[in-house]
Amino acid sequence: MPTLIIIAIGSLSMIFYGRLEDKMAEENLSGSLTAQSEEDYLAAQANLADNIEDAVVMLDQRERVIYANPSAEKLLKIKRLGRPLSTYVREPGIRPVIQQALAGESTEAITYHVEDPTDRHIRLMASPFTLDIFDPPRPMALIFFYDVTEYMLAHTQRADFLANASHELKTPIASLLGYMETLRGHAKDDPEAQDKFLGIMQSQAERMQRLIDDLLSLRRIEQIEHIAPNETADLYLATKAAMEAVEPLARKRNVTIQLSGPKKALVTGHQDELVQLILNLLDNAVKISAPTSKVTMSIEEEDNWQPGQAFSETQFSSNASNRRIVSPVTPQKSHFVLRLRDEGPGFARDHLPRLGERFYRIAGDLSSKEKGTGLGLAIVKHITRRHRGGLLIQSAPGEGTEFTILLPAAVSEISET
Amino acid sequence: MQKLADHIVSGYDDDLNQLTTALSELGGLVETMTSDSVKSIKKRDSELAQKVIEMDKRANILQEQIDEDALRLMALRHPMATDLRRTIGAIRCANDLERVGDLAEGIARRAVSINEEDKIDLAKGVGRIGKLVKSQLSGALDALLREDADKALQVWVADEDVDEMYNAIFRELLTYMMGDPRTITACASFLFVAKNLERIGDHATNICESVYFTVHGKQLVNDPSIESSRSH
Repeated sequence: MPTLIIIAIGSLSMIFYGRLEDKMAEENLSGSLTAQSEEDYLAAQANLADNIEDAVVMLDQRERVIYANPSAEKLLKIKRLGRPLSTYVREPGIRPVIQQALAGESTEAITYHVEDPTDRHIRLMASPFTLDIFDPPRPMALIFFYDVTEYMLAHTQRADFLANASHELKTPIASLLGYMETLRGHAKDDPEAQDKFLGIMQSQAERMQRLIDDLLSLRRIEQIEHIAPNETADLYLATKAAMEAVEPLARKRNVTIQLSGPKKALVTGHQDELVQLILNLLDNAVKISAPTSKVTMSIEEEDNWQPGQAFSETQFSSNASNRRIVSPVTPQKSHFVLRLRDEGPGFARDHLPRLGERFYRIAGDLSSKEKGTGLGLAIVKHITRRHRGGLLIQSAPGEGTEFTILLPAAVSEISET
Repeated sequence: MQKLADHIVSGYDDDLNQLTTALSELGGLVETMTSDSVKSIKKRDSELAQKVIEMDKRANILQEQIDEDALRLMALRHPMATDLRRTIGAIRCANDLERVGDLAEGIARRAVSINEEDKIDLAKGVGRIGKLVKSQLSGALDALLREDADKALQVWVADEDVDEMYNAIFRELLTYMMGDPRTITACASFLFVAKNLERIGDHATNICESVYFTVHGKQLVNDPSIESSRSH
């Protein structure tokens, strides 16, 4: 990675300097440029840097961003040039590095962390860059940004995964070992007990399998969470697919599932992940629903979703509590809204803040009887975050729970903001 | 977007930019203080807590500097309309940020005393509210520096979640204290930490209100369409 950075900087400054000499030769310049040619000259260089895939920013002596290539505009969400870099990057360690670079000194790379919209680790390098063609020479700084999230996550997540997996698998394994011991000892000649124990062992092994499956899908989503999906998916089809998958369970439990809304809902997203998202919520809703009750789903299009709109159309009594598990990243844009309402027991107020936390299960709750892994909602949360969507919950004990999922509607023409 | 920014800077622009830069520096500093103070509890790292306590001095100096800069700007340049609101906003936000610094320092001081006690596993709840408050503060600072009123509104509305989480932690700690009186000392400290974090969340919403005022020229709290969306 560092070698790459150096090569990239080297080649870029060569482009700049190379072009500079050409230009000097062409126009036979000796000292200063006129304001007009300076503009032209800088614009020409900027065109070159536009095509660099990494984020590059040019700063003037006053630390103002005077140029940002498209990758940098996207990464730092720059809307207007001419503002100081500190508008976009606040990490305290960065300013000294930039001042060093502006003073013409070489600097060391620095890695900083942002949380919005998803966890990202960004490595920044500043290198001095003097346009000595001007009189007096103008020292500037070139700043390169590299997204090193994958490298950082690979380490921390591997450790997390192992810790989680080994901790959660300990209980079923201990119980398996216990039963095996009994089967070889006391229960050696007792076919009835053997049958019973083997049944328990199977359900423990199945639980381990579900846990591993869930842990793996959680990890997979976490790894790609910092990359927003760019394909188009149909929310309606995803909902239909999820409904079909829970159909047998719903019939067994005599729960009715209803869906209303348009037959087509194109969103920016990943089809399989959306199915998984809805399936996790729907499966849970059916499990906690009492027989003969209903699970109602609706899809709506909202042209201009406002943050203040959340929970405004409530059908709950005043006992209900709300939480935004994930706040949508791009409010005031067209969104598809999927609502999923069950008539189950609902959540008590104090559980709400902890929902979506890994392995958080409500003790004595119906869902633990149904052998949940405690990872379902965590997966839902991470899928929503990856989709830059929103996840809201409103619930009241005795009334049920409503999940609201917001997903950015697909745009016909590709426009990045 | 234009390809290159205008090269000619007026002294006035420069002054306004300097104000933004100073606010960004103060913001980044108190952001780090907040997350580091929580980290010092989670990782039982008293050395880190000491660093946070040290950082507060710098935060105070920066606030004074912003005050002076804003005052000089008003005296010399007579800003009008948005620029005037921006300048007033800078003073108000610097004040809020300085208070955030104080609260983070308070958490760090608690951390030092908590870390002297035997380890009890209560830091998880504090870690959770810490993470939420940190993201609220970061969101408010993003909104402030980019003058993004939409973002400000989003953060402002989500303060409800911080309050809800604080209440949950309050009840959780109360249960522990009733269950085992030996945990009272530690739990009381954790209560203060959670309270400080909740207060930092409140300052983040104050900043959002200032941003909204700077951009729109009207007070956010007086906007009836928005007020009704908050359930308390």
